[in-house]
Amino acid sequence: MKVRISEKLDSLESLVDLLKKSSDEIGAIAVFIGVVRGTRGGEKVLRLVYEAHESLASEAMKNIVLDAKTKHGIIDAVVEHRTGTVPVGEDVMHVLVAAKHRKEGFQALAEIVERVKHGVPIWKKEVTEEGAYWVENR
Amino acid sequence: MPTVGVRYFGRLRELLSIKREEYEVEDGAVLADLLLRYIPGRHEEASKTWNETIFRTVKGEIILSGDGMPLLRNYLVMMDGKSIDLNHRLKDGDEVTVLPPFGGG
Repeated sequence: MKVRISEKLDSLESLVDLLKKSSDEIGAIAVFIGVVRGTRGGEKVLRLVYEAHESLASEAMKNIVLDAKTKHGIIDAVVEHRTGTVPVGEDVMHVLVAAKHRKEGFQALAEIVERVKHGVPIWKKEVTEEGAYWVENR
Repeated sequence: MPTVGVRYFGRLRELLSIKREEYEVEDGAVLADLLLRYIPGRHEEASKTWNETIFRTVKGEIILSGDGMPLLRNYLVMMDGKSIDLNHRLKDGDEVTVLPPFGGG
Protein backbone atom coordinates (compact mmCIF):
# COMPACT_ATOMS: atom_id res chain seq x y z
CA MET A 1 0.00 0.00 0.00
CA LYS A 2 1.14 3.51 -0.72
CA VAL A 3 -0.58 6.75 0.27
CA ARG A 4 0.91 10.16 -0.25
CA ILE A 5 -0.04 13.81 0.23
CA SER A 6 2.44 16.03 -1.52
CA GLU A 7 2.90 18.96 -3.87
CA LYS A 8 3.80 16.48 -6.61
CA LEU A 9 2.42 13.14 -7.73
CA ASP A 10 4.57 10.19 -8.70
CA SER A 11 4.38 9.19 -12.36
CA LEU A 12 1.62 6.74 -13.20
CA GLU A 13 4.20 4.47 -14.81
CA SER A 14 6.21 4.22 -11.59
CA LEU A 15 3.06 3.50 -9.57
CA VAL A 16 1.91 0.80 -11.97
CA ASP A 17 5.37 -0.78 -11.76
CA LEU A 18 5.26 -0.62 -7.98
CA LEU A 19 1.95 -2.47 -7.89
CA LYS A 20 3.02 -5.06 -10.46
CA LYS A 21 6.04 -5.92 -8.34
CA SER A 22 3.92 -6.45 -5.23
CA SER A 23 2.36 -9.76 -6.33
CA ASP A 24 2.30 -12.19 -9.25
CA GLU A 25 -1.43 -12.77 -8.58
CA ILE A 26 -2.37 -9.42 -10.13
CA GLY A 27 -4.56 -9.72 -13.21
CA ALA A 28 -5.88 -6.17 -13.44
CA ILE A 29 -4.83 -2.67 -12.43
CA ALA A 30 -7.61 -0.06 -12.45
CA VAL A 31 -6.56 3.59 -12.53
CA PHE A 32 -8.34 6.86 -11.68
CA ILE A 33 -6.80 10.21 -12.58
CA GLY A 34 -8.41 13.32 -11.10
CA VAL A 35 -7.80 16.35 -13.31
CA VAL A 36 -8.40 20.05 -12.62
CA ARG A 37 -11.39 21.04 -14.76
CA GLY A 38 -11.25 24.40 -16.51
CA THR A 39 -14.87 25.40 -15.96
CA ARG A 40 -17.23 25.85 -12.99
CA GLY A 41 -20.77 26.29 -14.20
CA GLY A 42 -20.33 29.10 -16.69
CA GLU A 43 -17.14 30.42 -15.13
CA LYS A 44 -13.61 29.89 -16.34
CA VAL A 45 -11.44 28.27 -13.66
CA LEU A 46 -7.88 29.57 -13.43
CA ARG A 47 -6.49 27.15 -10.84
CA LEU A 48 -7.27 25.16 -7.69
CA VAL A 49 -5.45 25.55 -4.39
CA TYR A 50 -5.39 22.54 -2.06
CA GLU A 51 -4.48 22.20 1.58
CA ALA A 52 -4.61 19.17 3.86
CA HIS A 53 -4.24 18.09 7.45
CA GLU A 54 -1.42 15.85 6.33
CA SER A 55 -1.15 13.38 9.22
CA LEU A 56 -4.92 12.88 9.49
CA ALA A 57 -5.24 12.68 5.72
CA SER A 58 -2.58 9.98 5.43
CA GLU A 59 -4.19 7.97 8.22
CA ALA A 60 -7.64 8.31 6.62
CA MET A 61 -6.33 7.21 3.22
CA LYS A 62 -4.61 4.16 4.75
CA ASN A 63 -7.86 3.17 6.46
CA ILE A 64 -9.79 3.56 3.20
CA VAL A 65 -7.36 1.24 1.41
CA LEU A 66 -7.45 -1.29 4.24
CA ASP A 67 -11.27 -1.27 4.14
CA ALA A 68 -11.21 -1.82 0.37
CA LYS A 69 -8.82 -4.73 0.74
CA THR A 70 -11.09 -6.37 3.29
CA LYS A 71 -14.35 -5.64 1.48
CA HIS A 72 -13.36 -6.30 -2.12
CA GLY A 73 -10.41 -8.66 -1.73
CA ILE A 74 -8.12 -6.47 -3.81
CA ILE A 75 -4.40 -7.13 -3.65
CA ASP A 76 -3.13 -3.61 -3.13
CA ALA A 77 -3.79 0.05 -3.88
CA VAL A 78 -2.09 3.43 -4.18
CA VAL A 79 -3.67 6.77 -3.32
CA GLU A 80 -1.86 10.05 -3.98
CA HIS A 81 -3.26 13.59 -3.68
CA ARG A 82 -1.60 16.92 -4.38
CA THR A 83 -1.51 20.01 -2.19
CA GLY A 84 -0.69 23.58 -3.14
CA THR A 85 -1.61 25.30 -6.39
CA VAL A 86 -2.67 23.05 -9.28
CA PRO A 87 -3.25 24.61 -12.72
CA VAL A 88 -6.11 23.62 -15.01
CA GLY A 89 -5.47 20.40 -16.90
CA GLU A 90 -2.99 18.96 -14.41
CA ASP A 91 -3.49 15.77 -12.41
CA VAL A 92 -4.50 16.27 -8.79
CA MET A 93 -5.21 12.74 -7.63
CA HIS A 94 -4.06 9.27 -8.62
CA VAL A 95 -5.78 6.13 -7.36
CA LEU A 96 -4.61 2.73 -8.57
CA VAL A 97 -6.07 -0.60 -7.54
CA ALA A 98 -4.44 -3.96 -8.19
CA ALA A 99 -6.71 -7.00 -8.13
CA LYS A 100 -6.90 -10.56 -9.37
CA HIS A 101 -9.83 -9.65 -11.61
CA ARG A 102 -11.17 -6.42 -13.12
CA LYS A 103 -14.59 -6.62 -11.46
CA GLU A 104 -13.40 -6.17 -7.89
CA GLY A 105 -10.75 -3.77 -9.13
CA PHE A 106 -13.33 -1.41 -10.68
CA GLN A 107 -15.64 -1.66 -7.65
CA ALA A 108 -12.85 -0.91 -5.20
CA LEU A 109 -11.52 1.92 -7.35
CA ALA A 110 -14.89 3.71 -7.45
CA GLU A 111 -15.37 3.29 -3.70
CA ILE A 112 -11.87 4.50 -2.82
CA VAL A 113 -12.22 7.60 -4.99
CA GLU A 114 -15.58 8.53 -3.42
CA ARG A 115 -14.28 8.00 0.09
CA VAL A 116 -11.15 10.06 -0.56
CA LYS A 117 -13.30 12.93 -1.83
CA HIS A 118 -15.65 12.86 1.16
CA GLY A 119 -13.69 11.36 4.03
CA VAL A 120 -10.17 12.76 3.91
CA PRO A 121 -9.29 16.16 5.42
CA ILE A 122 -8.31 17.93 2.22
CA TRP A 123 -9.75 21.30 1.18
CA LYS A 124 -9.74 23.09 -2.14
CA LYS A 125 -10.22 26.66 -3.19
CA GLU A 126 -11.35 27.22 -6.73
CA VAL A 127 -9.98 30.39 -8.29
CA THR A 128 -12.05 31.54 -11.26
CA GLU A 129 -12.17 34.71 -13.33
CA GLU A 130 -15.11 35.83 -11.16
CA GLY A 131 -13.60 35.15 -7.75
CA ALA A 132 -12.38 32.44 -5.39
CA TYR A 133 -14.53 29.86 -3.60
CA TRP A 134 -13.94 27.10 -1.04
CA VAL A 135 -15.50 23.95 -2.43
CA GLU A 136 -17.09 21.38 -0.13
CA ASN A 137 -17.97 17.89 -1.31
CA ARG A 138 -21.52 17.03 -0.26
CA MET B 1 -5.31 28.43 33.98
CA PRO B 2 -4.95 25.90 31.14
CA THR B 3 -3.37 26.93 27.85
CA VAL B 4 -4.79 25.23 24.75
CA GLY B 5 -3.75 25.38 21.11
CA VAL B 6 -6.17 25.64 18.18
CA ARG B 7 -5.39 24.82 14.54
CA TYR B 8 -7.50 26.01 11.63
CA PHE B 9 -7.75 24.82 8.05
CA GLY B 10 -9.35 25.94 4.80
CA ARG B 11 -11.95 28.68 5.02
CA LEU B 12 -11.47 29.04 8.80
CA ARG B 13 -7.72 29.61 8.46
CA GLU B 14 -8.52 32.22 5.84
CA LEU B 15 -11.31 33.80 7.91
CA LEU B 16 -9.12 34.23 10.99
CA SER B 17 -5.88 34.82 9.05
CA ILE B 18 -3.99 32.40 11.27
CA LYS B 19 -3.02 28.72 11.18
CA ARG B 20 -2.59 28.12 14.89
CA GLU B 21 -2.96 30.11 18.07
CA GLU B 22 -3.13 29.61 21.81
CA TYR B 23 -5.71 30.56 24.39
CA GLU B 24 -5.43 30.72 28.14
CA VAL B 25 -8.84 29.63 29.41
CA GLU B 26 -10.47 29.62 32.83
CA ASP B 27 -10.27 26.48 34.92
CA GLY B 28 -13.31 24.37 34.11
CA ALA B 29 -13.79 25.85 30.63
CA VAL B 30 -15.10 23.40 28.06
CA LEU B 31 -14.61 23.16 24.32
CA ALA B 32 -17.90 24.98 23.68
CA ASP B 33 -16.56 27.97 25.66
CA LEU B 34 -13.52 28.08 23.41
CA LEU B 35 -15.63 28.07 20.26
CA LEU B 36 -18.39 30.37 21.54
CA ARG B 37 -16.45 32.90 23.61
CA TYR B 38 -12.70 32.81 23.38
CA ILE B 39 -12.17 32.53 19.62
CA PRO B 40 -14.86 35.02 18.50
CA GLY B 41 -13.81 37.27 21.40
CA ARG B 42 -10.28 37.54 20.07
CA HIS B 43 -11.37 37.80 16.42
CA GLU B 44 -14.23 40.27 16.84
CA GLU B 45 -14.20 41.44 13.22
CA ALA B 46 -14.78 37.85 12.07
CA SER B 47 -17.02 36.73 14.94
CA LYS B 48 -20.36 36.95 13.10
CA THR B 49 -19.05 34.94 10.16
CA TRP B 50 -17.34 32.49 12.53
CA ASN B 51 -20.60 31.81 14.37
CA GLU B 52 -22.66 31.47 11.21
CA THR B 53 -20.02 29.26 9.59
CA ILE B 54 -19.47 26.63 12.26
CA PHE B 55 -22.74 26.72 14.24
CA ARG B 56 -26.32 26.13 13.21
CA THR B 57 -28.14 29.44 13.52
CA VAL B 58 -31.60 30.89 13.08
CA LYS B 59 -31.77 34.62 12.34
CA GLY B 60 -28.22 34.95 13.65
CA GLU B 61 -28.92 33.13 16.92
CA ILE B 62 -26.97 29.95 17.64
CA ILE B 63 -29.23 26.93 18.16
CA LEU B 64 -28.62 25.06 21.42
CA SER B 65 -29.28 21.39 22.01
CA GLY B 66 -31.13 19.97 25.02
CA ASP B 67 -27.96 19.95 27.14
CA GLY B 68 -27.28 23.62 26.38
CA MET B 69 -24.46 22.89 23.95
CA PRO B 70 -24.42 24.69 20.58
CA LEU B 71 -25.18 22.66 17.49
CA LEU B 72 -22.35 22.51 15.00
CA ARG B 73 -22.92 22.59 11.27
CA ASN B 74 -21.00 19.92 9.37
CA TYR B 75 -17.71 20.93 10.96
CA LEU B 76 -15.52 18.53 12.90
CA VAL B 77 -13.68 19.40 16.09
CA MET B 78 -10.87 16.98 16.84
CA MET B 79 -8.17 16.36 19.39
CA ASP B 80 -5.41 13.77 19.04
CA GLY B 81 -6.97 12.60 15.80
CA LYS B 82 -10.38 11.94 17.34
CA SER B 83 -13.66 13.81 17.32
CA ILE B 84 -14.46 15.34 20.72
CA ASP B 85 -17.64 16.50 22.41
CA LEU B 86 -18.27 20.17 22.97
CA ASN B 87 -18.58 19.52 26.71
CA HIS B 88 -14.97 18.27 26.84
CA ARG B 89 -13.26 20.02 29.76
CA LEU B 90 -10.14 21.73 28.44
CA LYS B 91 -6.79 20.75 29.94
CA ASP B 92 -3.40 22.39 29.75
CA GLY B 93 -1.68 21.35 26.54
CA ASP B 94 -4.83 20.33 24.67
CA GLU B 95 -4.47 20.76 20.89
CA VAL B 96 -7.81 21.34 19.21
CA THR B 97 -8.29 21.20 15.45
CA VAL B 98 -11.34 22.65 13.68
CA LEU B 99 -11.98 20.99 10.32
CA PRO B 100 -14.33 22.37 7.66
CA PRO B 101 -16.25 19.94 5.44
CA PHE B 102 -13.80 18.11 3.20
CA GLY B 103 -13.28 19.00 -0.44
CA GLY B 104 -10.57 16.85 -1.95
CA GLY B 105 -10.38 15.43 -5.44
